[in-house]
Amino acid sequence: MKKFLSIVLVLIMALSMASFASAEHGASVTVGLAGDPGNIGPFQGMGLGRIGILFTTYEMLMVKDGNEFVGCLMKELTPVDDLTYDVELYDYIVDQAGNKLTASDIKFCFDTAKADGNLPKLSAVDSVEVVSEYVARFHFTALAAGDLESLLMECPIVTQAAYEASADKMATDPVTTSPYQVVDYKTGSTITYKRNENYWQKDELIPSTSKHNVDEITFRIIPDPVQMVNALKTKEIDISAAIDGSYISDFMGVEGFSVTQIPDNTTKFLTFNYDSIPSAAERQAIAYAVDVEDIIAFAFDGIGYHAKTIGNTKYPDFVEKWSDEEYYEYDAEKAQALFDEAGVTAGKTYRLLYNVADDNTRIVTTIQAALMDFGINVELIGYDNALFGTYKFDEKNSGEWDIMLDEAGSSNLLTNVWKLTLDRRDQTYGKTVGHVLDDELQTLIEAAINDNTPENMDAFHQYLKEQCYEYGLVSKVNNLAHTTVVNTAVTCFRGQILPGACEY
Amino acid sequence: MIRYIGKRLLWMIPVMLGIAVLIFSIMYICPGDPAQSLLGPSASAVELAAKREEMGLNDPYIVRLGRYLYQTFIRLDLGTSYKFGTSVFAGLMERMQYTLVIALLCMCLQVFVGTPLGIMAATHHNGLWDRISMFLALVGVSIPAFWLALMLVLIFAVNLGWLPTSGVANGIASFILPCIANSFAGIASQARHTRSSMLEVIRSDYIVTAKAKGLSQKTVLFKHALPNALIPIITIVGNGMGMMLGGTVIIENVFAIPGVGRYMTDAINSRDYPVVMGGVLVLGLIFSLIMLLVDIVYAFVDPRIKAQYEGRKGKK
Repeated sequence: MKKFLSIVLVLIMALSMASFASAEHGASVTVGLAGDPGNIGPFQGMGLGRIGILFTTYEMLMVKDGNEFVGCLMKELTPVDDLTYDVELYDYIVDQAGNKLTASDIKFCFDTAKADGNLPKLSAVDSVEVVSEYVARFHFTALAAGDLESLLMECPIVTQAAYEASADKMATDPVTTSPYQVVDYKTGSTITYKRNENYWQKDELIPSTSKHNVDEITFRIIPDPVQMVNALKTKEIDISAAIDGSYISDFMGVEGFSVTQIPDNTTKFLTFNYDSIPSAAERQAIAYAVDVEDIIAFAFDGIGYHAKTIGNTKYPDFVEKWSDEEYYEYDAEKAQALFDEAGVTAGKTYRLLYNVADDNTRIVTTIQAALMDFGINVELIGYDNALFGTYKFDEKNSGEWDIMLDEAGSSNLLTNVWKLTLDRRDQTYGKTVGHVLDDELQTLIEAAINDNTPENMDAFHQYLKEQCYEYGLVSKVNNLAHTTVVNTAVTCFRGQILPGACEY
Repeated sequence: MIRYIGKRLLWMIPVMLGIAVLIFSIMYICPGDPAQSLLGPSASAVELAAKREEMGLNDPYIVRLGRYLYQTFIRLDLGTSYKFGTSVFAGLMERMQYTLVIALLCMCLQVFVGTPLGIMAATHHNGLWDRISMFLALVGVSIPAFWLALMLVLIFAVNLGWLPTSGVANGIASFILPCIANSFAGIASQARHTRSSMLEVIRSDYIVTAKAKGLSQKTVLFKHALPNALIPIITIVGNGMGMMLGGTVIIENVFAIPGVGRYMTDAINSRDYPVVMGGVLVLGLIFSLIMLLVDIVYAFVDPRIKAQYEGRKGKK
């Protein structure tokens, strides 16, 4: 027994001398990632983990740098006609294996990506033609406002030689034109990149997505949000954009840490099922009955913005005057009057469908409590991500819900956010996601998509607000926290950290 | 004995077939669209339909089942993950190493801590050590593993800085907290079963005789009592090992360990059918082999059981 105790004491002493806080960083940074990218090949579908490493791993023809679209691999873009554009590459691009990037590689990438079918947006690219060694001609099937830039940003570019030389289609060891190369990938655990000393681009032409201010980047996958906080507190990671809102105060004003709050692309919104709530008065009543400030306080720890549409001010086609407009501010009297007008009495039950991931559970319980004040019951129907996606778009299940809590965002334009649920051309059964068959709505959204002038945008916005088929609740904020290893954090247009662009 | 082992191995074939048909059927009727999950909300109806066709999801049940059984049992190919695009078998093997490390370490803790605790409790029946051991055992089976895991992280990683919070980058140190959290309930269970089994044995006449003969406490305990109490203990260890392999999901998620449990739960959430089916098959196979191993160990521990296995041959 004495021997056992003494061994234990020695172990405790030994462990107390060890510290698992990170060593001093100078030339490296560790980024906390909430999702597992899995296959990091170029033509895989987008996911939570992949979005975090995309710009570190790959370069595209074009990127969004701040509020501007700039060429990355593309030197020049020349219109041939409304649906045809020539893309000229820089003629000195080489990948990490020394292969030159030419127009035929561009054609290869887009053809392969389309054939794999994991990047559905590329269906708008009809074909890519090689015009000369460094010029590729893109033929599109249709182009709405913002589509061109979106499509040129969509497909990661690699050389055909490097792709075909890879044993697993670059699933674990991509060879790209990026300034960072994957040197170690432990699936589900860490991805380590080292700076490519022979990066091809001239310093003055490098966009933020391709900057390389640090020698080594390690992404560490930590799926549990509490453990992400713990890892940052112990400085096992240096930076994370996945700090849950309810824990961000642990880092605010704390020595050794900095917090940056960046408006996210996504907005939480409610969709009403037109089949069960056909009355506009009833939909508006629900909107006025819910105090969005309560949702922000309870679900997001006070960090978030009351949405003024399904989208936020980050989008270039957001009309500024909406910021000062009344948009379903909480008004109990008005709500009751509208419920009375719609013939809704106490005891009525609504079924609220939602995705159980994320902060949604707190949002729906707030909505449930708000409507209970009016004697209205809310039955919460929560599903996991996969099932929620199925039921949302499946006509067979359209009678299973009355109200749906959803989330949407886009990488470039507000119209692309609206399209996801309100353009019935894109839906499986010819109606909007809320089962609305409104020709006026469709006409207005098509006008906005084709030409997103402030007038067209405002016309659609006002009509949607009046009809209240859907309405925005909260524009989310990304909480980015980092240690003093990082002086200035930089993110991409998707709100993901660009470790190479951060300042150290 | 060899014949017995051979028979058990042959029996595994219909068992594995049964598992395959069952898991395939469950995944077939399970709601959720893998194509939707893969392509996301921006995919159009046409793209989704094309993806489903490419994935073979539009074929009738019997065609899909036949294709799956042929691929799995004839071509010995567990398929390709929808989400990752990589071989399911390779993915499982890559992750199995972490799950095996945790399972083996936890089993060692369970056996080498739980068993002595149980023996101590049994030999000090109704005494202080018995009460302490059983109190600890009660606490162990009551505490949820995820809560214990986070408390251990808070104390030893965040506050004291002795151990890492998560991940596998720090070698054996990365597995200390996960193994303690994961094995706590198993240690408790092992202690309780060992105590119960030992109590039954030490009241036997032959133990009284051994004591009367003047044998030392140690000899009575380890030479006479423990071997006879081992059968239920071995059963617990065997079952525990099997459950560890498939049941470390919570610990793997909390500690960000890229093991089989996390691989499969991610696959279930994204309706990655090949991974789920392949994972269940592999775990089923491993569990069957562990049960066979347990039966073989019985034979070595208890000569009566060995005689039973061999006796069947003699009778014929």
